[in-house]
Amino acid sequence: MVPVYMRWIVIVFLAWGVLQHLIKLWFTLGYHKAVLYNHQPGPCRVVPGVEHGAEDITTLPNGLAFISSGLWLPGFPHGRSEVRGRILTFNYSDPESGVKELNFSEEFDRENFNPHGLSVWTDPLSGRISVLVISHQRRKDQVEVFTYDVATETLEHQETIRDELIYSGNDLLALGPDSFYLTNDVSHGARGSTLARKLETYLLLPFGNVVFYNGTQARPVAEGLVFPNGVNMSPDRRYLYVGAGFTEELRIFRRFANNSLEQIESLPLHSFVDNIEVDPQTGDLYIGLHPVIGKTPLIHYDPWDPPGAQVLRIKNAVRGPDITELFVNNGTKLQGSSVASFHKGALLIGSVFDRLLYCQVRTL
Amino acid sequence: MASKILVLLVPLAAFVFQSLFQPRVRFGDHNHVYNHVPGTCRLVEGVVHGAEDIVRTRDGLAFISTGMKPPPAFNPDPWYLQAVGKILLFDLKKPEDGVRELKIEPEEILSEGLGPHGLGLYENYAGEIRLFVVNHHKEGDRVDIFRYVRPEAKLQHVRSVRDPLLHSVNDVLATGTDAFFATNDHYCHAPWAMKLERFLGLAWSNVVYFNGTTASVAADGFSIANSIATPPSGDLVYVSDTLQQHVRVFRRLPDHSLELQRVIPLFTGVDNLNICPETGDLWVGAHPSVSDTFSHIRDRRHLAPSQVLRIQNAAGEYPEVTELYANDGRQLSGSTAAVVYNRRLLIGTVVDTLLYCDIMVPM
Repeated sequence: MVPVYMRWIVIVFLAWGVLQHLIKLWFTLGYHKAVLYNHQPGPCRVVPGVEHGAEDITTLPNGLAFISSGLWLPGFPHGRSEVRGRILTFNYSDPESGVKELNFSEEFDRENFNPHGLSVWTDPLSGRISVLVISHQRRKDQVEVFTYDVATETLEHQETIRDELIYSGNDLLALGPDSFYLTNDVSHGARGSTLARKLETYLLLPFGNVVFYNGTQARPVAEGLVFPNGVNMSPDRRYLYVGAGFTEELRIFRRFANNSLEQIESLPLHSFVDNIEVDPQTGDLYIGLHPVIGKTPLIHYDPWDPPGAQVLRIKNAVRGPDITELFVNNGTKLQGSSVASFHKGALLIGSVFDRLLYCQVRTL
Repeated sequence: MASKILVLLVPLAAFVFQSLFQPRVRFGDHNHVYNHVPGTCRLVEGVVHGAEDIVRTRDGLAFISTGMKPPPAFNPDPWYLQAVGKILLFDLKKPEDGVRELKIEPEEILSEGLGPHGLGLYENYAGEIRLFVVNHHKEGDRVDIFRYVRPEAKLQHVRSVRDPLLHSVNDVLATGTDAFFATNDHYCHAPWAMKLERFLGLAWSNVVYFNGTTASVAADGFSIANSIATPPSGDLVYVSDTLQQHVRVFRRLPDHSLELQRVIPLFTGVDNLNICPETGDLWVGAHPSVSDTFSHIRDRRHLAPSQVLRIQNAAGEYPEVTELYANDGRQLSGSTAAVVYNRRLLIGTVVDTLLYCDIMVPM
């Protein structure tokens, strides 16, 4: 016979556990950040022609940036039919020309193209540029591989990669024309069902992972992450960086020759971490973050109370991180920043569903 | 029986929970501070015991109060008690010259021990400059009024204003050659009472007006009335409340009392206010974490975050707030005041140092 007071103790204990989680969730979603103080590193302007997001950006050493635009997920402000998946280019050497939309080769099914993270790989011998993009289909995700034709500014579709272990792709990092690391932000079950996804999100379950696709097959290389987001690596290819969204950290892994990973570091960044870009010369990291992830479509978007934007730069991430905040906005200039790419004193800031900003950096 | 215990326990737990959480949220423990600068910044040499307040003339002469000794109620680190109170001058037209100490006449003012806190500046078009200094004199708080003698770079004492209403003075705003507003940051006098007043968030601190002869209460109901500023037109008065984390905008009535118009919430420990005479922008020095600043006062090794905000259109309905500088404490701890002149920024601190920055971001 269980005494009555035992039952009460259990109930109180459970209630306390629930309360603890609710408080942690509230802080994780960023609602405690009552205000975001705006500041920018120099003059910023909106790049015309980008209205439905610039979720990911990758820049080549010559200053040519590839941008994925037109991502659509349930909860986004615009209707599915209003949004079109596009890949754009922007030339840092000619910022006045703005963005150019790339054409696809004829046989590519662009109707169902729903681009999320992208990565570019240049063949060191031939100079051939491969552009890999995660595309969200209805049930599962796939990776589209294109070759960029500089002359015709066209993306020639090469192959569509599908794998059992690619189901909720967020970002990827190409290591070859068809090999890459990829982050799955939620579990396979959560990808398929809205309820499961909501549950997994609100319970902050660590079911996200990083997989490596070797050209034929994918295998998991890191697990137990809560909504892993951006993925990139150091210029010397020794370290892999993963944005751990809900745990607000930058995870640093040691990379091995067989592409497996060992976590060595976890840097707290105090905001939901999205995509990571790395300066090839300095190794500095440029990161897009969501200070109040609770206001983004991932949780609940209200156009009258929009999410803000934040960009951090991290020098010496592995040895002695020096973190500077380059940009913050309360949503009036940019909503839902997901990525920042730096090249020769200029910064491109992309967003999940909003606009694209071009800033000159005068404070570094 | 058990249900009776719960009935007692739950509200008790809720009360404990609330009183643990609320002060923490109010004292700013929970927000992370990221570092950023508006351009190149460097520490100004020769300032090691704080630069609590800074005011500047229209042509860029900045007066800085340094050497404030935190009162015993704050359990200050012994290092700060070695400070000697002084007034420094920094010419924002010639930043390379750094700071110089101003001579004060008569000498007794310095030798008796100047305890400088807030500063106010009176400048008229005839070229007369008067510096009003909040002096925590050993005999009691008073406001010392000096005339700045430019050719000799000295402060000539004119008068000292003492009044029972001026007992815990923080900052002063000059409104005439002998008239001013002053903030009393606490209501209570005894150190233990002041501590309780802060922790409980009692809103008893006030703003006093001195017309040249007598003092009167102009406004009250502040948690910590810290600093006070007015635009060139003089019809509005801004007062910062550190613990309530906002700036109150008042209309100044003919009898010099203040009528509250609106509040600008800033969600940070607002300290000193300065108005840019050309644009009317408010320059705010703030403590993102007041509790860290208090810890920094108890122990100089404990770093406290710093922040400088700029408020445009402060008098209007929709003020625009930009953060010009933020630091986690490693470059600058416990910022209190900021002045800007011609894209040059000076940031002062309670007990740390003085920072000079060139502003390269758009303004």
